[in-house]
Amino acid sequence: MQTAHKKLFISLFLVIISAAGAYAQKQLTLSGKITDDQSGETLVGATVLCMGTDTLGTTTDINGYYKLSVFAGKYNLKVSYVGYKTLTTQIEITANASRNFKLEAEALNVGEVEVQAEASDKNVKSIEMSTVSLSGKTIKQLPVIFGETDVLKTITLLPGIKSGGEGNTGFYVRGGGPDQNLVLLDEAVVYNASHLLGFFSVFNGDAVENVEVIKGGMPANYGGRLSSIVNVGMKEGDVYKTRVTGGIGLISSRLQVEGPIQKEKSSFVVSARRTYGDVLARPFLADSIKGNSLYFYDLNAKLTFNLGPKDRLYFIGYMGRDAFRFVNNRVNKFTFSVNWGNKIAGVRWNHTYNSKLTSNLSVIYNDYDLKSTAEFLSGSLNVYSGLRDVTTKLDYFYAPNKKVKVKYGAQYIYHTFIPGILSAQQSGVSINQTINRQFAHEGAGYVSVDYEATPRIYINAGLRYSLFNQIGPYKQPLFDELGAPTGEYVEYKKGESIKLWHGAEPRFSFRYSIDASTSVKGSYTRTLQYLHLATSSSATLPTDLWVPSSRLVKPQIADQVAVGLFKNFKKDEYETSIEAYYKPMQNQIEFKPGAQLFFNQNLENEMVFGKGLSYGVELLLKKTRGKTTGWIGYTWSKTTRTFDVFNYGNPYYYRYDRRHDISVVVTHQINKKWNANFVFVYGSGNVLTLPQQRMTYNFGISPQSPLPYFNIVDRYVDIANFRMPAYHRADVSFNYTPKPDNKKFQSSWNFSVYNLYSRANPYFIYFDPDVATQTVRARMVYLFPIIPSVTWNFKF
Amino acid sequence: MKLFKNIAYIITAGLLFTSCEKEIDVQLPPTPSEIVVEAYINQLNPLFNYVILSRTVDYFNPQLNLLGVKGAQVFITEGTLNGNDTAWDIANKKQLLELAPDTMPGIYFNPLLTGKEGKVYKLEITSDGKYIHGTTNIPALVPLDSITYEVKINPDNDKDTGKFMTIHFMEPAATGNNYRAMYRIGGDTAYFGWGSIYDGDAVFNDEIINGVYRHFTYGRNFNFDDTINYYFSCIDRPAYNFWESYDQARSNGGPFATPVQLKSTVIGGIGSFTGMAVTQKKLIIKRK
Repeated sequence: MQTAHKKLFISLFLVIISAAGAYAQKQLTLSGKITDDQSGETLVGATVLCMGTDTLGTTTDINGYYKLSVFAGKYNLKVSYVGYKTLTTQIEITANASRNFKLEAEALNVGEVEVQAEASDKNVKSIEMSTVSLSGKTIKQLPVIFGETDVLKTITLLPGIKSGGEGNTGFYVRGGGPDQNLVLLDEAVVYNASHLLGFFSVFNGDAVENVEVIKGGMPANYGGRLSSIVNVGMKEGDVYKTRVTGGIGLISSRLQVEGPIQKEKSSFVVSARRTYGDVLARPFLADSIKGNSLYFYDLNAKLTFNLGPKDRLYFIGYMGRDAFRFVNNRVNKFTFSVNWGNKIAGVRWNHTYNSKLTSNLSVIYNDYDLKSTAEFLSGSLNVYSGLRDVTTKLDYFYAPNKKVKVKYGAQYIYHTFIPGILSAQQSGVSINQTINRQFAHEGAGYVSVDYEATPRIYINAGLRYSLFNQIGPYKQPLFDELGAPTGEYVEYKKGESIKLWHGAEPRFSFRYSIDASTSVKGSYTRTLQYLHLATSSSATLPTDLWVPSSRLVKPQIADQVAVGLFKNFKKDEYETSIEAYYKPMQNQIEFKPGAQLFFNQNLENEMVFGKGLSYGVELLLKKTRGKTTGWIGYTWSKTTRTFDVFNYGNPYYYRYDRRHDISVVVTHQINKKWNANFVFVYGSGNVLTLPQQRMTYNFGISPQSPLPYFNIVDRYVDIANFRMPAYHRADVSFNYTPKPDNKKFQSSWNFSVYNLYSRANPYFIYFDPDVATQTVRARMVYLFPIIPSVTWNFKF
Repeated sequence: MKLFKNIAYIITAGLLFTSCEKEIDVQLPPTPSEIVVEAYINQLNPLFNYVILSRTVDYFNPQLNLLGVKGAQVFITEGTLNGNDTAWDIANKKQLLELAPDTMPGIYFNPLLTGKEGKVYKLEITSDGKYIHGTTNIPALVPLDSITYEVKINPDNDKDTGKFMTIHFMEPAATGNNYRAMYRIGGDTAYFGWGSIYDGDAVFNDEIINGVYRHFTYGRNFNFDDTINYYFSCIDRPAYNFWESYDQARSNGGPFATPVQLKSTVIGGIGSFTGMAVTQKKLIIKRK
C-alpha cells in the first residue's frame, strides 16, 4: 500500500531564522513530532539529526515524538524515515523550541522495500546492538506461504532468529526456546502468537506498523523473558481522511478501515482478517469429513486521541480466535468443537511534563483461553483452560541534558492461571474436575542511564529488579512416588505467599566509534524468566500451558555477553556488522519422556531441570538504498542443553541447534508498476530424538492367525540423536500496481511462488516396520512443494 | 487427554492436503540389547499366567518377529504382605519352563502356578548370568457387574444402525483403584496370551471418578452377531503406570511424537510383571 504516499503533497519545510550571533553555551531543547504528510500517521523510529559543531541525533519514540538537548546555535537538521524522502533544513536555536515535521513518502520509488526503519547510520551510531527491525511495509512485501504476510515468519529472515520450520511460528533467538521470547503488541504480552497450530502468526500484516526484535543487550525497561523482545507496533489511524484497505487471497481475506474521529485530533483503525481455506477445501473432501470446519479470524483496533500538546491517549484492542469443528453425523453422533485465542484490551496515556520529562502509563488486560466441547452418544465433555493477566506499567523518560538520558519505571502484573476445568456427563454420571487455579504477583522496577561520555564513547548502564510471588488461594494435592494421589493437600489461604522469587538483572552496554562509519559495541545482559511453557512436542499446540515459578520450579536465568563490529560503506548505502555472543542459561526446563501435560494436577512432577549454553557469530550485509535493496545474513551457532536425566548428564544439541543459517533477501524495483522480491533461506537440520531400538510386546496367539500377535514398540535410549536434512528454500514474488498514479482507488496484485525449486523439506520422520514384508523403513514427511499464489490488494 | 493430540492430528491432516513423503536413510548409533520381560499372574485363569522373554533390537535390524530368549531360569514366589514386610512362601517357589524352545522360544509357563487375590508375587529370572527381578500384587477384585448393549435405529437410514456396548460396575469408596479393560471379538476360545485380546485395551483409574456406580459406554459400533469376550482387571499402581506408558508408546508418532519411555516394573530388564484380579464376561450382540 506504499503507493498511497506517492504524490508530492507538501513541499520541503524550510525554517530559516537569521543568525542573531549571540550564542551562549546554554542547554536548550528542541522537540516535536514527525508525521506522514498525507495521513498524519506518526512515524515511529524516524531519525532526527542535528548537524552543527557537534552532531546530535535521536529517533522518535513510540508516539512519533523526538527530543534533543542542544546548545544554542545554527544547525542543519536532517529528518529521515524509511520509505520517505529525507528532509533537510537549516535551523537556528535560540530558545527551547518545538518543531513538527511532516515527511513525504518516496514518490519515485514506490514499493521499494527499505530493509530498515532506521536512520541511515543508526547501525553504527546508536548504542543498540543485537537489535533488528522491519517496517510493516517490508513485511507486507515479503509474502510467506499462500501469499499471506506473516510478521513472525519474516523476522526469522534476520540473523540470529531461527524459524522452527513449516507449521511452526515458534522462533528461536540465540539458542533460546520459543517461550523465551517476549512478544508484545503495543506493549501487551501475547501468550500464544500462532494460529492454526503454528502455520500462521496472530498478527495481521495490515495492522502492523513496525516490528523490532531485541536479541541481546536488552534495555532495563524490558524483562520477563530470557532470550528476546519482539515489539510489534500497531498502526495508528489516519487523522485526515477515511481510508479502506483490503486484500483477497487464496486462503484468507482482510479489510481495514481507518479515519479521523475528530479531524487531526483523533483517529481510529480497525483491521479484520478471516481464513476460509476450509470452505474452499470442502468440495474436495470425503463425505465423512465434510462436516468439519477449521478457520481463524482476528480483529485489531486502535484509537488515538491527542488531548492537547502534552497528552495523548491510546486505546488498543485485539481479539483472535481459531475454531475447529469435527462432526460425525452417523448414528453414534460425535461432535467435537474446540476454539482458542487471545483477547487484549489496553489503554495508554502519554504525558509530557516539560521538555525534559515524559511519561507513559499503560493498563492492559489480556487473556488466552481454550474451550472445547465433545458431544457423543452417551454424554458430553467440556474442557476449559486459560491464563489471564492484568498489567500496569509506568515508564518515565528524562533527559536532563544532551549527554544524559534516563529511563525509569515500574511494572506490575497479576497473573491468574487456569490449567484446566473439566465437566463431563456420561450415562447419567456427571463429573466435575478442576486443576486448581494458581495466582501470582509479578513486579519489576528499573533504572537505565545513557551517557555520552565523549563523542566516541557512549555507555548505557541499567538495573532491573524483578520479583515473582506465587500466592494463595491454592490447594495443592500431594502425590506418592508412583504418581498416585495420596488424598492429602497442602492448602494456602487467599493472598498467602507460597513462594517468593526475586533477583537483580543488571544490563550494560557501550559503543565506541572508531570513525564516522565504524564502531565497536558490547553488552552484558542478565535476564530472569518466571513463567514457563509446558510443551513437549516440536509443534505448537493450543493446549500448551504456561506455568508459574513455584516452590519446585525455579526462575530461568540467562547471562549474555555480546560484542560487535559495525561498519557502513558508501555513505551508509551498505551496512555491515559482525556480532558474537556467548549465553549460558540456568534452570532450563524439559519434561520427562512421555509426560502428560494437559490436565495433569501433578505437572511439576513431570518437569526436569538443567542448563543450557549457546554461542555464535552473526554476520549481516545490507544494502539500504537504490533500486535494488536487501540483505544477506549468516549465523554460525552452537546450542546445547545439559540435564542429569538425559544422555547420562552429557551435553546434547538442543532441538533448534543450527550450525549454519543463511538468509538472502533481495528486492528490486523494475519500474513504477512492477517490483520483484526474492528470498532464499538455508538452515542446518533440526535435531530430533528418534527411537534407537524396538521391541515386541503384548504377545498372543490364536488359531485364526498363522502369525502370533504382538505390537512393535519403539525404544528411545539417547535423546537428540539425529539431525534432519538441511532446510532450504527459495521464494519469489512480484507486486504489480496497474495504475500507480491513481490516487482515488489503488489496487495491486501480488503473485508469489513459494518453494521455487520444490525442495522436500523435512517436517517429521517416522519409522515403518512392516511385519508382513519383514522390512523397516524410515520415511520423511514434507509439507509444501512448489506453491504459486495470488493476492489482490486494494486501498481507497 | 490424548483426544487433543488426535484432534491436532486431524487439524494437521486437514491442512496438509499437499503433504507428501519419501524414504530417507537414517543412521543411528547402535545400543546394547536389553532383555524384555512380559509377565502376568491372575486369580482367574492359570493358563494366562506366563512369562515371555525377548530382546530389544536395533531399529533397522530386519528381524521383526519375536526374538525369544531361550534357556532362562524363571521362578515365581508367592508372598503375603504383613505391614511393610512380605513373608515369601519359599517352599512353594515355582519354576516356569519353556513351552516350545524349538518352535517358539522365550515362552515360560507352569500350569500349577495360580494367583490369589490380595497376594504378592516375586518374579526372578536368570539368563546368561543376568539377574532380573520384580514384584507385583493381585489387588482385591472389583467385580464387573454386567455388560449390556443397546441398538439404536437411525430412522433415516437403515444401514447406520448403532450397536453399542456398556459395562457396569461399582467403583469402591476407597481411592487408588487401577483398571485394565480388554475385549476380543469372536466366538473362538482357543486363543492364548493377553495380547490375543486385542480388540479393546484400555487402562484407567479412579482419580476423577471414585466411589460411584459406573456405566461406561464404548464409542465403537459393533456388528450383529458379534461375540465379545470381555476381561475386566484390577491392577496395582506400578502396573498401571507401565500399561499407561505402553499405551502412549504404541500410539506415538507423527509431528507430535515425544520420546516415550516405558515405566518398567522389573529391575535389570525392560517390561512389567502384572498382577491382575480379573472378571470375565461374554456378550453376544443379537438382532432384535
